[in-house]
Amino acid sequence: MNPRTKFIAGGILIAAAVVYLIYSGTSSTMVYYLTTSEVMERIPTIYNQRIRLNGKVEPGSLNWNGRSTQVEFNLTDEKNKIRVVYQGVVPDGLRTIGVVIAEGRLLPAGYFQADNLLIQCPSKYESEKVELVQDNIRVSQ
Amino acid sequence: MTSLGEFTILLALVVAVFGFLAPILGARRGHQALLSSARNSQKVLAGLLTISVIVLVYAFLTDDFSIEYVASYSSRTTPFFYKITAFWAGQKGSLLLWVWLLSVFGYLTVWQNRHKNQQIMPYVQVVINGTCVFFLTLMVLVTPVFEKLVFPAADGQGLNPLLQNPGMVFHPTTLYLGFVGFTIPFSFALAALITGKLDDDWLISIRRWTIFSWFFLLVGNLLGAQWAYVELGWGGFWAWDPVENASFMPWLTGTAFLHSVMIQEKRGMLKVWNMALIILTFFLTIFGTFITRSGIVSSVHSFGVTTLGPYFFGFMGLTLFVSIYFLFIRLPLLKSKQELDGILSRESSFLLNNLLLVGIAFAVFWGTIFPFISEAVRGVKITVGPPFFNQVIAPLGLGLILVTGICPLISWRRATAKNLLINFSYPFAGAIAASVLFLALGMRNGYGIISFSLSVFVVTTILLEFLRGASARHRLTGESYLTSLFNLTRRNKRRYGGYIIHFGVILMVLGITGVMNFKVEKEASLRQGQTLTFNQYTVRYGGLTSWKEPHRDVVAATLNIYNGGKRVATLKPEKAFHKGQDQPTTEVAILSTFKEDFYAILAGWDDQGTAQFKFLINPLVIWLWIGGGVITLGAIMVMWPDRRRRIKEARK
Repeated sequence: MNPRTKFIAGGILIAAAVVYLIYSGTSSTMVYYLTTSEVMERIPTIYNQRIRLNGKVEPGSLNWNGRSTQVEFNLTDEKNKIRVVYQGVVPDGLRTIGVVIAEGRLLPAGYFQADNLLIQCPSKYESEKVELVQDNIRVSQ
Repeated sequence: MTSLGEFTILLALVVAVFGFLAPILGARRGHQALLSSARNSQKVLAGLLTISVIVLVYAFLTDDFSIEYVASYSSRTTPFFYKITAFWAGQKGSLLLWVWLLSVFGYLTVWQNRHKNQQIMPYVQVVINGTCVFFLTLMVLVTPVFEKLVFPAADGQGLNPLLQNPGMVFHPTTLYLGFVGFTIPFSFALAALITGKLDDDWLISIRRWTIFSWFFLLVGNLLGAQWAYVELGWGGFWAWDPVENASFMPWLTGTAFLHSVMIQEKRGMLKVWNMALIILTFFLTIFGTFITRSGIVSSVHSFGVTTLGPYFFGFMGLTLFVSIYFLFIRLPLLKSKQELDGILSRESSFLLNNLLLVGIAFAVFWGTIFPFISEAVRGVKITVGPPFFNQVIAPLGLGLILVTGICPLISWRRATAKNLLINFSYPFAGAIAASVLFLALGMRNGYGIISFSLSVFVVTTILLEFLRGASARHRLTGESYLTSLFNLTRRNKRRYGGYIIHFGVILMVLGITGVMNFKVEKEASLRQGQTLTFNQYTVRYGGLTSWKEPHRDVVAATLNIYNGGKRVATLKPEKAFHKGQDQPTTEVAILSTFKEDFYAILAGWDDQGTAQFKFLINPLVIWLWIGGGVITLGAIMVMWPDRRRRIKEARK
């Protein structure tokens, strides 16, 4: 075998290994990433399935005194809302940023039992912050 | 003042358009005056944007809440220090920072090359200014940073408390230095393709720019990791968030490029591959800026600033199209001078390094965009979380560590059995001895054992290189061993600086391996005076204290930490309630040693004073930061100007 063929064979071998790793990694770790409406559509098959539920905390629905490890709130996509119940370290920004990804399961009892709450890097949610001044902007262009 | 800011940005756009067009016309028609005024325009552009940067900083410092951007990110009570960092807290300011840095880099590049690379320099300017035109157009049409409010706000909304951390000064700025820096190597590459002047001159001219950008991208990521670790309070430093991935990907392809150019310099091979790598790296920096600044990937439907999307897609598409077009028509000029010889050779170990790095970059890319693929194909979003990245990248990363040890020592062209024996018998023996030792000590974690043993392998190869070099020099010159060692590194800064960087990378690997494989955590609810035993630590909870500060109220728990019966520290994890927000900010407390970090989070408490805690023991984390320091040393060494070359240039 001449060197060139060897190199090509080696390259293909490595590429194949990478592809295999990605393929097996994907199929063993994938999780539905759903909005509240998408979850509602999938009842009852979605019950007890591990998913990532995303949405906004419905204003006024957050039941938390700021210092306990128990928290409940409604997540909403403006159409449908789902009650989320969580116990554990409550992440910072739950109230102020309010854009949440909850990992856990929807129980047949009708609420979402979360075991992890994610709140994303705050610098990204600037479009949320400017609400106050939004209609106050001079149209200059 | 603000109209001065608006005006300078508008004028900068005009100058950038001139700087884009003039070099093309000048170079085509051989019009020297036009080329020279194009060179001057680079100075003007940098000057104008510097003025607008100063105007914005001034607006922040003087609480000019008639500007929407200032009103959104600062307030009268924002501390002085954070009034400055609020500059890049949002999208508008970040874009200004981007284009300002690029204009300064552009000016520096033109100045550096005033006597060199005359054929390709006009097109280098074209690429730099083309990129400036893109960003300035965005700033004029979509994100005007000096936009005014109709009714000036009485006070601003203030900076998000999470962003009020010293890390936020250096994390975004260093990342941007890296992102923007890669524009320079890319512009040389594209200019070389456009002009067809494809010898190795351009490669040599961008060496320092490449390592500069690579270094800052790494430091930016590390600082971000450290910020997450001490500030976000979940106990980790990397979450495979799309935004993190966005800055990790160009670093990976940039690392590949940094290595593969050496093959081109030494052996005249891999020319097309190198071009592809730098094009890809630049593409990923723009993609990264787009992701970090538009929030498109992680956005929950309506939160992204959608107006930016089409512009960025257009620019990325155009960049790819132009680059690939010129790469394609220059293919005949990019033929290798040499053929690959043996499969056991330095060339092939470099190739392996490149394949692994690009493979990892692809895996990260796949994991980041997978939700969109699945939505497009199956109509529903499916995500792969951190487990995907850990599962895929760990084996590839281990391969990469192995190559780090092999690459610098194996012979060019074809390694003989003798060469392999001389170079690798000690490191190999060291690695075997290490793994036996770890097994004997009771370690049963496969990844842990392999990773630590490979680290021993790499460190031994690095030590051997220094020893051999120093003793050879000692024999040759009669200098003492220490002097030889010093002179050796001084005379071959790039090579030995590179080894030092490798050593730093291995230290980082130790930290990552420690946390990934040996982290333990425990949640507990403790009454005042109660103790808890966690591994070799005993924690005694002494109660809560609270106090008021000007802009926040703080509640802190006192924890006495005992290690083997001896008190080693008092930790005070806190929750702080910032004014105007009933949402607390968690401040963790960390006891950091070379062996491990003891990490305490105050999760909550009740009226009787019983508090909930989460504790973590994160082994070896500190080596991640120390590794970053070592890499900094190595990178400074590599970038340090050569005295001899300067003298040679002066003589010319």
